[in-house]
Amino acid sequence: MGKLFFSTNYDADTGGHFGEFGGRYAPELLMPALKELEQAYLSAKQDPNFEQELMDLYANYSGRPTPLYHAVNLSQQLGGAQIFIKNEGINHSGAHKINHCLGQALLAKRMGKRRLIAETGAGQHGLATATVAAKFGFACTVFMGEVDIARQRPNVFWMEQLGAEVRSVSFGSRTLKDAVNAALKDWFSSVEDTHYVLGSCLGPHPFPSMNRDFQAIIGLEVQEQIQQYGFAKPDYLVACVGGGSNAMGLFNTFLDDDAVQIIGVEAGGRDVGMLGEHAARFQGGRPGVVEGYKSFFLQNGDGQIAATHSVCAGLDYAGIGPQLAFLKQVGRVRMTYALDTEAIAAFKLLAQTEGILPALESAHAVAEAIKLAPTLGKDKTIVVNLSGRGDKDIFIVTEALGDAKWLEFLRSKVGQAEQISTKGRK
Amino acid sequence: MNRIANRLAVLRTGKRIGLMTHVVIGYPSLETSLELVKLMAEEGVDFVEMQLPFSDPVADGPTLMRANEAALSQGVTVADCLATIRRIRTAVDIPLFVMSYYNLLYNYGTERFCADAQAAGVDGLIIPDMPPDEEEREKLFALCDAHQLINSTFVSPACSDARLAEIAGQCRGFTYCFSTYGITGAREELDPRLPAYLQRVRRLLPGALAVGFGIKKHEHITALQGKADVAIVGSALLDAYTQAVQDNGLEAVRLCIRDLLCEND
Repeated sequence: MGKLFFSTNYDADTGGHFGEFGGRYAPELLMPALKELEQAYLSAKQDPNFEQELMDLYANYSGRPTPLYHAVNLSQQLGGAQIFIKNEGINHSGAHKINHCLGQALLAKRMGKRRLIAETGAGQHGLATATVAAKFGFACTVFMGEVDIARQRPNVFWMEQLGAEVRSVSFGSRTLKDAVNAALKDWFSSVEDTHYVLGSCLGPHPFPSMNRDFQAIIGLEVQEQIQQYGFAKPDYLVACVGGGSNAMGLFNTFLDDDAVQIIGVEAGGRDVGMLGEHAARFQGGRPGVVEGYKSFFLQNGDGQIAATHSVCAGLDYAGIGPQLAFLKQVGRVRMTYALDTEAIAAFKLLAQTEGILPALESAHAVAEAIKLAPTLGKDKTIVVNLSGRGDKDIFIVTEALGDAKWLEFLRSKVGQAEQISTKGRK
Repeated sequence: MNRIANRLAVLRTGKRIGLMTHVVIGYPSLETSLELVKLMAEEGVDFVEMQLPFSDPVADGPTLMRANEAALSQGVTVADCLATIRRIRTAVDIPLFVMSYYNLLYNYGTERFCADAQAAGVDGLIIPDMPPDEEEREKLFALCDAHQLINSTFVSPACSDARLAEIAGQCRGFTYCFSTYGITGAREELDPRLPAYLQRVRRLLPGALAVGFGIKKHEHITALQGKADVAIVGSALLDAYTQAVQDNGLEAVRLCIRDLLCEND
């Protein structure tokens, strides 16, 4: 396998700019911490011990390499290209987020920090941060929007069991962007002893480049694994794009090979024609400078950040990682979207044909593969990044599918719990 | 000559620390913002910082965030704010700053914003998320220079001497000093490390030092006398306004300013 840290023609300049995007538009209170982090990251990249330590954690803690699985049944049913599933859901803690959390925890240790903070949408990044905090002995606070807490209660419970404090964010749209804001606010006052484990390839430099590098293991593994199936390289890569961490993790290895076509899938929500009803930044978004970086944002004419909607919390975000905005601008990555309904349908199809339950975020990528495969010959390959497994989405999926037996189950659990607590009081 | 520079010269002559107060334009209404700035000028405030409401005010604490949200929920736009500033300028002669997050300027068109702000009678800008490191691309300092606006530089207790020297290179004579680690909001005590930090900044940066974040009482301001040129009070006045009963908001702000200024001449 190639070296974990490598450069491409699409890397940032020394100030963290990808073309016109990226940069470090942060208040002065954070600048010293960002520069300290940049230094720690640059020196770690040069240090073979760091790479070895991280590779060891990937293998023995997280369970890497994750499989690249040939979805034969799905491919046959669609009658076109061969679909391969890169199953990041097999990772410890259930998603690709653990990759950059392990890398950042090692950096935080090197910098002598004692506490980790993180934002989370679906809860996967918060869960991964709480996981590494427990393992490495950091105190941990996770910020999560009220709306997301309501739809992802199981992950909140697990984070708390891991010893993290989950702080509810009740301002703004009470989703992911507000959780980022709340984490930044905490960091303003705690920057001396706290590392902010930002959870995607976005935010001020060096986060976009650093998280991409900690996720690049995904693409490196795919490069090797696809050859074991007798293909020199994949023809298409497909990944869902919220901030862009799983997407950049898959894409980075292949950016300099123009023969590999790359597709990012945004959350089309209920309707991409209406601001507030979707989270597809390239369907009506414009350049802006928010939360420390320049990129594409869904915003109104004045630059006020718009509300977003997606069936899944992990894609429900108004901004996109700056490198992806750049890759889209220069035509290296094609951006498309999947609607809520298409993601749910893709979830069902993958579950029934292959026995794999994808996270609803990842189901957006599956939805695109379902559209793309029949248009291609059987000798073509599509690698779909399955960024996470679907267990966490049980409440959302049962609701979307109107599952009556689930509702009955919930009622009976509530009844039992009430009985027990009444007995307890007597 | 720019009104900010003039007022700083007056303060230096009188060996007095200046007071800068804060309003969120459009909170609770555009009309009240106008009344508030008039009142502040009447009471002897030296500078007013007028914040353009933004959806994601990252450096602001709960008090200012709520005001930002409330202003936006009434549909206040950047154009409304500039029109209100124009009216404020005809009513008062004190130096006026616009405080905003950079995205609003960027979307308006940074050059067009600077031109329209100048035309509205603005004297300076306070844009906390536009560091000098991005000047090469954004040209905010250069555009402000071209439109006779003083663009504020920022320093924090976390700045090393090397960083302060870097910032000094872009300084236009007015530097906003974050008093402590954290976000905006009234605090009971000033950071004990503040005097040593301000001394360090004074040694390395030219021009006036304005200290903000957590200043709410007269004692805080007297403690800054001789160490800084301007004290900035934001959340404490807004708290006074929102906590006042019914229609007494303006009077509460007036009393709060008088408390801040007492014995301060």
